[in-house]
Formats: sequence, C-alpha cells, structure tokens
Amino acid sequence: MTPQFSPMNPNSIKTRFTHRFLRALKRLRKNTKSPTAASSPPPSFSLRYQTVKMAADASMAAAVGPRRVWSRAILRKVRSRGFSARRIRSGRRSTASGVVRRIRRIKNGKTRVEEKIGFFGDDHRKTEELRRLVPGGEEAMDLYSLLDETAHYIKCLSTQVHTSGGLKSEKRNFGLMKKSQ
Amino acid sequence: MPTWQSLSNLNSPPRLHFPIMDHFVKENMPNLGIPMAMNPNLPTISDDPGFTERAAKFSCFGSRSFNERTSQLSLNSAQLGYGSSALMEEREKTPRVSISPGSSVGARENWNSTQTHMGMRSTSDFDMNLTQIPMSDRAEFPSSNEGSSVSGQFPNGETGLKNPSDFSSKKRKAVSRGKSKVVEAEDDLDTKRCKSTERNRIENDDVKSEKKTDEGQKQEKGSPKPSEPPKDYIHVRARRGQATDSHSLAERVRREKIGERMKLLQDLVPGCNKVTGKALMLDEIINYVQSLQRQVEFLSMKLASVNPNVDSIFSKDVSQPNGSFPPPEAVTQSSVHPLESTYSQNIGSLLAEEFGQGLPQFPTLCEDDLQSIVQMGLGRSPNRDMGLYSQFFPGSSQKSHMKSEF
Repeated sequence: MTPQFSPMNPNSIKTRFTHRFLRALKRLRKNTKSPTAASSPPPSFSLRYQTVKMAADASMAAAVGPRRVWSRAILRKVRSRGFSARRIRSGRRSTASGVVRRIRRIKNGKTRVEEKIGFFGDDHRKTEELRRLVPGGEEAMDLYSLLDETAHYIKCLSTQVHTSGGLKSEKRNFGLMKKSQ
Repeated sequence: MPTWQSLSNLNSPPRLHFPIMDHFVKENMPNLGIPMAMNPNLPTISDDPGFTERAAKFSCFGSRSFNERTSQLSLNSAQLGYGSSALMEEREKTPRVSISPGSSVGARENWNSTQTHMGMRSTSDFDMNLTQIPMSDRAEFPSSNEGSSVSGQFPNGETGLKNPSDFSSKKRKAVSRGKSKVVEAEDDLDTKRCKSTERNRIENDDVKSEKKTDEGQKQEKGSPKPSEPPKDYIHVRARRGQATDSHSLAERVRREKIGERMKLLQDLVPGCNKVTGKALMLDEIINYVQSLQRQVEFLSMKLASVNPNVDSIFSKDVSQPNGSFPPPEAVTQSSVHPLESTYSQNIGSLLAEEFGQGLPQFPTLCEDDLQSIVQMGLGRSPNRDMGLYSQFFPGSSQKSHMKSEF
C-alpha cells in the first residue's frame, strides 16, 4: 500500500490540521526522545495519550483559528493546561492521574446537574448535553449559535479522524519498519 | 407629472410624456362609457387603443373586474389606474392595460414599444394611488398563475383596505390547513401585504420551506392567529396563520434560523434524513459528536502508543514486501517476556480492533493498568520496542496475514 500525495487544497482545514498535527507530533517525539531514557522515565502511556489527544485538539483549534467559539475554548484550555503540562513533563506522574481524577469529578458534578434539570423536557436536556460535548458550548447560550458551532465542530472532527487514521496507518506501515531495519 | 385632476378629466390631454397622443386620447374617450365588448372601434388591431383595452380586459381581467370596471368607470378611475400600475409592474411580457383614460394611451404605447413608457405612465398613477390608497401596493407578485392572481388581486385592491382580515379569513376557511403549502402560497400572494415583491417572494419561499419543517416539529405552537392588517407602508409580510407583532416575528425568525441549521446538520450527520423532529435530530447529533470524539481519542491513543518508536513518519518509502507491522499476537509469542507480551497484546488488541476483530482486552484496560504495564515494560529496557520487534519480526508467522490486511 503506497500512499501517494494526492493533490489537496492547500488552504483547506484538512491540510492545515495535518501540518500542525504532524509538527506537534514531531515536537512530542523530540521531547520524549531528548531526555535519554536513563535520566527520566519516559512519560507514561496515559500521559502520552493525553498529550497526543491534546495536541490533536490544539492543532485542530489552531488550524481553525479563533474564529469559532469552540476553537477559542480549546485554545484557552490548552493554554491553561500548558502550565500543568510543564509540571507533568518534569516527571510528576501524580499530576496526570490527578487530572484524570479531576475530570471524573467534574463529570459526576455534571451528571448531578443533569438530573436536576431532567424534568425540564427532552429538548432542554439534549441541548445541555450538546453543550457539554461541544467545547465552549457552555458559553454559546443561543441554540442557533450552538447548532452552528456543532456543525463546524462535526466537520472538523471528521477531518481530524480521517487524517489521524491515515497517519496511523502510515506510521504502522513505514515508520516502524524503518526503525526495525 | 400629470396631476390627479388632469387624469380624471377625460378630455384634457395627458401632460406627461406623449403630447402626440392627444388625439388618441380624444379618440378613446367615447369608448370609455361603452362596455368594451361592444366597442365598435376594434377592427384595427395594432393602432387602436381600444383594441389594447379589449385585449387587456379579456386577457387580464376576470369577469368580476370587468363588471366593476364597466359599471363604475368614472368612479373607479383611481382604482383602474391603480390596477394598471399594478399590472404594469407585474406583467412584463404581455401588455396589461387598464381602461383608465390616461393610462390607455400609455398602454397603447406599450403595445407598440417597450414597457418603459408604461412604467413611466403607470408610476404617475402609482404615485397618485399611493397618496390615495395608503397601502403599499407593489403588491402584484410576478406570480406564476397570472390570470387568476390578477383577477383575484384587482378586487383586493378595492376591498383590501376595508377588510383584509375578512378576506384572509375567507381564504383560510376555503383552504383547509391540511392542504399543501402551495395553495397557501397562492393565497398569500393574493393578500397584498408586502413591501417589495422580490424580497418578499424570496422570503416567502424560504419562509414556506421553513414553515414546513417547523410546523412538523412544533405543532403546539402553530395555533392559527388571524393576520392583522398592515397599518403602514413598511411592514413585513404576514404569513397565514401567524401574528405580526414584533415578538412573534422575532420568534418566528429565530425558529426559522434554527430549523435551517437543523437541516444543515442533517446533511452533515450521516443517516439523518429519515429523522424528523428536533428532539430526535438532537439525539442523533449528540451520538455522532460523541462517536467522533471517541474516535479521535482512540486514534490519538494509537498514535501515542506507536509514537516514541518511530524515527520518522514522514518518509514515504516504498513499503517493503513484509512491510506489515509484525503482528504481536501474543498467542504465538510464548517466549516473550510476559510483560512485554502483555504490552504487545495491548498493541495487538488495538490493531486488531481496528480491523474489526474486536478484541475485548482494550476496553477493559483502564489507563492505570496500561500505565503500570508500560512502566514495567519500559523500565526493563530503553529499547524495549526494538527488542520486541526484533523478536517478533523474524519469527512472525502471520506476516502474510497482516500484509493482506494492508
């Protein structure tokens, strides 16, 4: 399976996201590789996974730009997490799990809120859920803007999935074999 | 611009644009008092203004307007002028001519030449009618149903001011709510309540299409309220069964926008064409967003797992014959260290899951487990992955299997 460079629109979201994502991944690899394995343990899997996920989201948001509410929300999250991420990279595992636990707590809190407003009606509940799913949906009070953001978010998520899938298969095909040679 | 007085005076020549038409006007005068059907001056076709009048009458106007015109010619010269102006605006292909004395000349001109004359002529009537009839009456849509709409509109021009609500209510009773929206569109066209033809037509089309989805979705809000008569020139078209006060207008616009967005989302989310209704659509959207997010997570996890092992993923080398990833199916690797094998198991499960084989291991592994496993695996050797692969690679019996997958 030899993927070739198909002619792509140089300005599409897809290409922009791909460039940024690849750059982010390279940077991540450099960061994990530069400290030799002996000096500090390589970051844990969950950490790496979270950073990759964050990198994907961040590159997506950066590719979109601050035009959209959800991209702004992601960028804000990334910048706020940058501080905690720096601590994480210094080797403290607890922060990562702490982050995970914090996320779980927030989720519990939100479920409680959901039960409270459950009797408002299906529509309301669903819009609340949608707000939770779409980053930055909490701010977009208007249903119309929420739907707008959702549409754009769906489009970008699907491009993300496509490019990540392509990246993954490429890595599996070529990169690993190069390594093993 | 001839004044109203000049036009009502049948004998005075129109001072507007056609001084040479004076004699035509005078010639036309005796015809006006006579029902057009019995007009004897009609044999000459192209040059007789009476012919234009008759052609206009028979082609444009229905029987009702015909009767009205013949009965109240003098009184209705205002409305006739109004009707002519309206017709002029509407009908561009065939010269619609009214019987008003002044405009007949313009009609004759129009018959021979372009519409602009008629436009100029009719604007004079139009302006006057504006002052006379306080109702913005660029009301004749360039509608598709020409004859019926014209005939329907003309009496509206007279009665429109008096009881528009009655008219609309009459029409509403005639057309049941379950009827198709096309009929409603026609009825709406008949009730003249718009400011500008084009804008409202477009708005109507959008509005109608939106109304379809909206009415399907929100039945509880669709209580038919009588359309209030417009009170001034600048007003938005009132739809059938909807109030026109500012609140409901804004509400309606908002609902239409939301409905439009829902349609867009329907196109984005696959398999939503059959789903109707806001709640179900929202359900589908939520599910789709969740699945996309999970997919991104999954893919990023995979990328993270293979990321540190890769020198460069950007090189697009030709895949080697055994270019497949040496399948770390743990079943065949009994010689491998158990931790490493579990790690490879994880990777294998990840890969296998992608190929739809659905290994159950992956969902049950939580991050902490993975973490511990990887830590131990990583702690053993810095190049554990190299070791793994070198172990798997020569002894892999399922290379071909993986190769076929690719």
